[in-house]
Amino acid sequence: MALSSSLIKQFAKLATPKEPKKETTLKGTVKIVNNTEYVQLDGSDILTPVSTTVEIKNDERVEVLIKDHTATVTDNISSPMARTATVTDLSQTVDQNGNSIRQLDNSITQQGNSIIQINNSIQEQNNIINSYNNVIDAQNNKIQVHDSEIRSINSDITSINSSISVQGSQISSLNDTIVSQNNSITAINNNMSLIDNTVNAQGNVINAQGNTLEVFDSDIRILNTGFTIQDGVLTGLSSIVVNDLKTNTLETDYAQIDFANIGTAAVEKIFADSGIINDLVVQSGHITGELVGVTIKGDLIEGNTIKADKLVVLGSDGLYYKLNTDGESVTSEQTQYNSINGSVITAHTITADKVNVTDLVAFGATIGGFHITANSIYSGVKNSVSANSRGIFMDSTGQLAIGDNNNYIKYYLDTNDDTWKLDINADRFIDLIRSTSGTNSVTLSNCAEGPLQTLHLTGEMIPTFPGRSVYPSSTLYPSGYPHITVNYTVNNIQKQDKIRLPFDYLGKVGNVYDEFDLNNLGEATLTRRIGLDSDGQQYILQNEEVIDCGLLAIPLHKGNNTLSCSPYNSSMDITYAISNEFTDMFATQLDLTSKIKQTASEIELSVNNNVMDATSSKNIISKINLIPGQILLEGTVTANGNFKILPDGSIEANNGKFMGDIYLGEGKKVIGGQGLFTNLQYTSGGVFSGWDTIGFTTTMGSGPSVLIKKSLAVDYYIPDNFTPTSAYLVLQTTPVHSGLNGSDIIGKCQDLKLYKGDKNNTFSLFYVMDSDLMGSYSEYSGTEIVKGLDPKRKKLTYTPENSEAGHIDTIEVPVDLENIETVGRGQLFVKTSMATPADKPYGNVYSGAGRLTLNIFGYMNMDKGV
Amino acid sequence: MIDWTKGMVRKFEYYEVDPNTWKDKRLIEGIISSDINRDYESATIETANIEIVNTLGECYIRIYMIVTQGTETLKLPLGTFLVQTPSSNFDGKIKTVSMTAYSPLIELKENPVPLGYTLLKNEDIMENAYQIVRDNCRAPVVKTSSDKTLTENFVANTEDTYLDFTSDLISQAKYKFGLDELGQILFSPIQKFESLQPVYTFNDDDNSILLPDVSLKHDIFGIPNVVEVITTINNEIYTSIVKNEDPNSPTSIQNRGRKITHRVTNPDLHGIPTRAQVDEYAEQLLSSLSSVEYTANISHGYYPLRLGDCVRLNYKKAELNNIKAKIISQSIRCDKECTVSTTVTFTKKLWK
Repeated sequence: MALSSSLIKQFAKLATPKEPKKETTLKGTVKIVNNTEYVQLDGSDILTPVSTTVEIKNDERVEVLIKDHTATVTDNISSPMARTATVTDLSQTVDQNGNSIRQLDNSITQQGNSIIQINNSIQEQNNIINSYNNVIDAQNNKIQVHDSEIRSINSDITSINSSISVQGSQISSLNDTIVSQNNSITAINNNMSLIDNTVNAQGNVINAQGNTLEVFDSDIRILNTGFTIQDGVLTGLSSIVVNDLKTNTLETDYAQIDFANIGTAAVEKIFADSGIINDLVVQSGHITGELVGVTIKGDLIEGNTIKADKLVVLGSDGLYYKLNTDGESVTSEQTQYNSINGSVITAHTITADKVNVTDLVAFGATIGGFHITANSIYSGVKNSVSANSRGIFMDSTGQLAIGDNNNYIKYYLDTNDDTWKLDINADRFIDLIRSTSGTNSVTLSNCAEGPLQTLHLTGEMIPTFPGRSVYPSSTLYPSGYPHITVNYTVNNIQKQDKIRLPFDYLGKVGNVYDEFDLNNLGEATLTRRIGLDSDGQQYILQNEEVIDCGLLAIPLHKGNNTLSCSPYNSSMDITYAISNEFTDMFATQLDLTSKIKQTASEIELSVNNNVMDATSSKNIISKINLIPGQILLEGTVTANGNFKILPDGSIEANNGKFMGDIYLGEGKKVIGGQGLFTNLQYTSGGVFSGWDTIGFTTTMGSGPSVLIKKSLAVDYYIPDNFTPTSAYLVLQTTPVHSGLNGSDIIGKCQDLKLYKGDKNNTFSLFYVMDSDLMGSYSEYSGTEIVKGLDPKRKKLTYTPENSEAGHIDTIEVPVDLENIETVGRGQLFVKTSMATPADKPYGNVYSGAGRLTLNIFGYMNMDKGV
Repeated sequence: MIDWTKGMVRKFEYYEVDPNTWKDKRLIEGIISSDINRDYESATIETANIEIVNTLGECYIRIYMIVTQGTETLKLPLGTFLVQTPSSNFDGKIKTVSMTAYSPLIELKENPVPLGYTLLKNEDIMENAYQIVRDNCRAPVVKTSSDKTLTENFVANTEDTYLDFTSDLISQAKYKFGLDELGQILFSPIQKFESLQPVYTFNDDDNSILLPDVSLKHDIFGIPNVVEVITTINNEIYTSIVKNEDPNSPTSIQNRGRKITHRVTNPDLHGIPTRAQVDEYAEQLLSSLSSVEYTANISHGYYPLRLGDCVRLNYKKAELNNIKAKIISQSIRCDKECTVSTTVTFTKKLWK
């Protein structure tokens, strides 16, 4: 029978039991190696590191307790611990208080000992400090022993107020210097017998009698006592010196003279005698007189006001001109010697054939019919750019108008859309049209592509065929039928167009002839004066007849065109459009009776007349070569039925491919080379729909909780296929219900600032299986965005206005892109700038709730997701 | 892949293992039966009891289970053991020899560590453990690296064997000994039970390999219903007392009819705590102490599980519903039924 499993288990445990841990005490010998204490246990060759509870020395026998994998010396067998009484006896010898060594004959022989306690005294006699370099640097030390000698050479007594009061003291060293002030040598019979002694201190007094100054090589040579200085008065000077000072010249380089002692008469005398001023009178602070012989050089006399009854100016013609002033204008006095009469020039009183001025300044004038105002010049009554009257107007802003309301050139500021526009309206542009004439054939040089403008055809053009019934078709003409051949060159290849003329013949009899006219509207008329009978003979009609030939266009090609009439015997008068920058850019086929209106940004062609093509069909727009973007197309524009521009400005298209940018609204680009305009929106991650605390919170975990600032953060992530263009932040805040010391209060966040957060904020997270992710909150770190919560960037901080719980304050502030990461993860957070309250419960007072929403605008390209 | 819930044919083979190469050396005939025991309470973790008709000398034996299910055959090692303790019986007809065999860790238990042997402070724990085990045991050792170093000198206790010494040593780095079925010595990390995920669920449905016998025991001895925490806050003595007075708690004062107090005078609180923190500490302490460890013994068909594995018990009839438990011992009877007796533990909170 097999054993039960439980029995087997019990057996197995008994077979290899886990032994309980035991502690043992062993003996051993101390070995100290490199200041580390080891014990060599008896029976072992190993040195075991130990800790010890007793004092041990090398080779001492000890007992070691081995327990829980530690070895501890618990007893010193070689040097057991001392008795308490023994230690007490020792303490009587070495007093704990003051630590004095009371016994005699103690000596401190080791070097490096120091007595560092205060108030130590060496009271015994005959102590000798015989070591060198001892320093007594404490204050108030006294050497009171008599007969002490300081024998050292170069000893300095540097203390202030040191006194040598012992009699018989001698300063016998050479070069001793007494530099202190107020030293006095009061002893009698002092001798200063050494050479080169210097008494240079101030206040030294030699008050003993009988002193003699025997100074050698001095500059003071007072050898006689002929003068006396007593009580500040110098007397006894010789008469030679005194008389010379009184009567003769005082020679000096510098003198200080009190002018109060100089009288007016003396001043008058100085100027009068010098001749500078004639008849000088000084009275009451004014000086009158006449400057004599004074020359004032220079081209300019400057002054705020030069006041004079009159100024007389000598002209280059040798005449004197006196200028008067009425306080407002300066005029020249008219005299009989010049051409101006009258004392004052008044308005509208001067007439002259010629006025020669270099610079004429006026606030208004009328010259030659042109009116000059403060800011414009115009002729007649054309006083504005929009005036209909004929004339010229030009103002200081640059506006210009020439002509009347029918024919004009206007360059003006259109106040409707604040743009500058150029309007030109004229029947003919000389630079665009050229006239020429010829017989049978004429070459038109530098033609613009388009129809011939005008044609006047006279002469004899008689078909050479006998009848009219042989026409094979409407576009194939016999050579004899009246037509015009246009020869031109394209890419060096000669080409030719034949244009049938809308009449059968052109006759001429004597001085009477038919006339064919093609005007610039494309209208063709024939003035018939000559008849043609069935035999082909011409005759003069009794009454001329004007025949409407309908519309005709004779196309010209860019470059030179040669027109030939056939059958020829006629003369042609032609006008045609020449090729130039204007016609090349805007219209190679111009109906010059059209109205051309040009502005700075567009050209609008209002065509008054239709243009016919060579097939003479009416109301057909011929080949128009206009530059895209400069055409105003009215009505619905359709291309292939797939693309439409509707009159309301909208477009319809089946498909589209845009290679450039697309703008909406006021020029805001929504699609461009960077991608599709996109708004990335991020919201803070609070527990209540993104709302979370702003203000203060306490730390969690072990240890005392500490009040710290609680930030509200919004994390965002910029993908690498996104290019940010702008960003703004929406901060919503609301006060919250809270408590303070048992009372209900409303907490509210204050003094908020915006920060660009460090990327490591909030990412120290913990996870325990089957529980939620946890994080330990610590204050966020980041860089302050100065005045970031004020849209006007004026206020440093933001404090919500509402103080009632549930009421929401909302602000929107732009965020500079420099504070947004260009790619990857980033963070913005809002934090109070208040100081953390010392009392933890007050954290509730300054804490509210908030939610951050970050909108980042930019362009998302299709590198990802497509 | 073998479906252990379905029928299969089992047989067992026994091989002598070459201790130098650790490979199978020869097939051993004449083995009547064997039992394999795995238990962390045993110092060598695994033992085996083998009955054989002839006496074998001391050698390592490796036990294989040969499983055939349909066309698939699996040769699965169950353990490698050093046969050491033979005893013989004769019933008049057949002589049977019963041998107790131990895991290769037994070699570490055979010699004491030299007196005063010390690993010095700052030495690498797992590197030293690997060296010690490799030098004192013939079985292969799977090396484990760790950055843990000794914070103090680690002195061998006087009566430490190498197994004791290295067990205590690796526990400093939060490791313990383990074995694989080939007898290789492993260093297994000591994991918190909460961090383990069940590797197998024992259900009582139709596909269950669970046998009906289940024994369950727990001990609420020493579970307090009052916790006193005494500490000093700013030189003032503060005592926080938390009581379990929950009528729904089996260990509450009302239900046990008396107070059982646990007192703490040195709470593990850093710095100067607040009163609220001490109160919270006391409450958490009572909550943690109010958990009881249940030991369940279940029997089931073989499934490849190891000691320390986490399993889920879903034996509704035994009122074990969705219980996450940890295997602490196994006993495998190597016969055609291959019944495994497994002991698992789990804890239940009795308050909050």
